[in-house]
Amino acid sequence: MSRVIFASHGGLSKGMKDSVSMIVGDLAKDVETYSLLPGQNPEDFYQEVLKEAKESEEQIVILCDIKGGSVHTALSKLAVLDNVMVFSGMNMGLALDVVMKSLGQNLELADANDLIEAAKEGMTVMSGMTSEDDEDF
Amino acid sequence: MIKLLRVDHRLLHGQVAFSWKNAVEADCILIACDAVMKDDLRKTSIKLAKPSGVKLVIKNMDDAVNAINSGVTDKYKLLTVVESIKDAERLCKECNINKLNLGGTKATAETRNISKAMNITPAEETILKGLCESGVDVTIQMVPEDSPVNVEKVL
Repeated sequence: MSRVIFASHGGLSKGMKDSVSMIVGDLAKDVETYSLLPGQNPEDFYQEVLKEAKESEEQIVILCDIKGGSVHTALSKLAVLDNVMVFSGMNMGLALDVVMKSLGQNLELADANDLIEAAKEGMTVMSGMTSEDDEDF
Repeated sequence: MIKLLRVDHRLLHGQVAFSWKNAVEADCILIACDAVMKDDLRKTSIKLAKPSGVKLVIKNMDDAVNAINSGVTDKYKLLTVVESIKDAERLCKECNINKLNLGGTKATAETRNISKAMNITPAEETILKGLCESGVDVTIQMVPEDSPVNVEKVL
């Protein structure tokens, strides 16, 4: 199984793990979280993970909260390593998919792109009543 | 064939749609519920919960029983969800299902709590005892990662 890290400004990462656990239970127990707090520099966490990633061949999948934020810009530098994959735009759907897909196997780039597409499809807006045809057997 | 019959008062939601679909490798979800068929708003919201890559069929109890017994569902790996123990009993009896998963039922003034998410009335307790006696394997398991608990242990 790959290491999965949720990384965010503030408590989103911990809250995301809490919410994901509500759906997949113990599957998410090994998810790691990083919360950037005021006064901290994500560069320090980058150095920490960089060292670990170089010492092990284990895949590390990182989900960052927002593209181009300081957490993402610092951690995205890890993507030059073959065993690290860095996502931005973490949301619940993506987080769930990544946790499920990373179980017992490495996440491939093609699969990661599929997960991004699925996460985008998960973003909708509704207003008023929509009608859709019912499916049958 | 029915891969899983589940009682869940929330019917289709994150836990079912996501974990159970994957765990039982279902390719079709059947929601069997009389109330939903009369409530377009609820039906629409259930459709939102449909995971990608599966078919979602919503039927009232009569039509669900008929569909299962007619054989049209045989080619699917079916995940069936009902909202009450009473509805589950009907499917078990009329469609010859010998395994039942208890996911969650709401707590009310008349219920007693038998697990983290299961709350049953005295009448439902009688139904569950009857199902167990007739040989149905009834287990409480909210998500696939939880260990199943045989319901007889808590009745």
